[in-house]
Amino acid sequence: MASAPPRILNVGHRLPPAMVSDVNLAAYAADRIAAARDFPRERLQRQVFAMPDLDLAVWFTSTELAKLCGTMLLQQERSGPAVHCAEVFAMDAQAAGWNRPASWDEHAGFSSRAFSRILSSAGKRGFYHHDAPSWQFYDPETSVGVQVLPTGLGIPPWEMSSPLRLFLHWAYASANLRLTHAATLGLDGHGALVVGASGSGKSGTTLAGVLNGLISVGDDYVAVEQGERVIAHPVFRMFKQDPVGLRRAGIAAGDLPDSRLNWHGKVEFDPAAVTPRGLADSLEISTILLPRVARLDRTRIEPVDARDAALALVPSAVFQLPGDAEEGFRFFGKLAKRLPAYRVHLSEDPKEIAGVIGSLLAGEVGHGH
Amino acid sequence: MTSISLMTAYAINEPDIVAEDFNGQVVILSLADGRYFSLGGIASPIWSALMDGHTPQAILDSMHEKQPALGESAARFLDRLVEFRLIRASDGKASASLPQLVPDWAGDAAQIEVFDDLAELIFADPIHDVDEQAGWPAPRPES
Repeated sequence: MASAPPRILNVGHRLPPAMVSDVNLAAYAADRIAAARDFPRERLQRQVFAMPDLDLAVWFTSTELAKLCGTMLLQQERSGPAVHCAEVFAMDAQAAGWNRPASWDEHAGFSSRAFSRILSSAGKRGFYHHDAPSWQFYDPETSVGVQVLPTGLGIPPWEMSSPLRLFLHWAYASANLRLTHAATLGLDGHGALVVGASGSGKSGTTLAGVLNGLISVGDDYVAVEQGERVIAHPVFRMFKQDPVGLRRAGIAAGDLPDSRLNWHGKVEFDPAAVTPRGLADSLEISTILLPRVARLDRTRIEPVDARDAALALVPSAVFQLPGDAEEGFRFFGKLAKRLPAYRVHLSEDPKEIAGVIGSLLAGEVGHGH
Repeated sequence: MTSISLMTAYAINEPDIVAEDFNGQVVILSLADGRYFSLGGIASPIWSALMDGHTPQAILDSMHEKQPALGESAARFLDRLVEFRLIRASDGKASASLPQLVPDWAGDAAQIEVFDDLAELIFADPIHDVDEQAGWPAPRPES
């Protein structure tokens, strides 16, 4: 007699709610983390990502998401374990035994601040994406997180080139590093954080630099370590640029292998395809640059004070990533105080921009250039 | 308009408000609503005196003799700190009198610059207000 197929039980301790509001948010977060930890490991695919100072062990239900993370996360080569480690379960509802993500109860209203406060009071961090819907929860005390997804690749669209971004942020916040919303440019192993709001010219400046002799560890998010020295580490592989910016840099989007348009209409591409020597393993940061799209004939650099650097760096660095905002404010405030900062009024000539920034980094440009 | 209580000692409105002094120039961040503030002119010394427990009256008195022209901007600045909920009445006792805030001050009047470009990100309701096409966390334009 043929035996019946094995019955796959819901792995949560009880059936999770279909709706979540302020009332049961903390309980839902705790339940999903516990359910993920109890999930049969033989049905998950484990990968350990060797990130700067962090071993991020991720258990996947989806091979597609595992592959995406393997492609997009830029890992380090090292022989031993990292100082810090974290564990994340990326669980999707197409996997047998894992429930669909709950939806937020629209009738209960939603406040981002209340959401963050409730989870913080319960010792957790979290994020809700209403469209999928999907959830990300993290417990900094145990360094364990869970991503609750509707489908294998059902992550927020803006995380397709930066998967696990929030878990990296939360894990780094417990260490002496911060995931930082900034680009980077350097020369001979040392360089600058390039900071500013969206549209300020960060990515264009970075692309201009790496195409013309400078190096970088990232054009959007980097891990910044602040000890005796300030070190920026690469985290994600892809660069992004709008099609006009690419043309200005002399690159045809169609010539870029594996490039694609992202959720924001920008072309995402592997910078190694256009500048194999433009990517560094790390950069010692000695300067903060505040680019400004000015369309001048010649790029002009002027020193700014620590307050101006903080106003450019702190708000976007703090508010782009949920959780640990005050710690972020202190971290980036300290950074603004210790590093000289310059506003860079940009020309439209990538080569000239790179030359001026290169001269600044080489110490050839004085104040008021 | 909300007015400050002149005889009350104040403290920073924790935990929603955080501030940092950048070489004598104070930047204040509201974690509650995403606004951030830059203090200009004599506003930063006034903020520091307030955080040291001096009452608004003591601060204004200390400026009266040497910087009478700055008094009006100082009073207006103190009211705005309350209006923006950056400070709250302190449980502690007010500090002893303040001889002079900055005896040789030759700078500008008190100013507070408000930045709210990121406030929308905090207020954006992910259920109703976010435009998927424009991308998170860009709020939907008002129709």
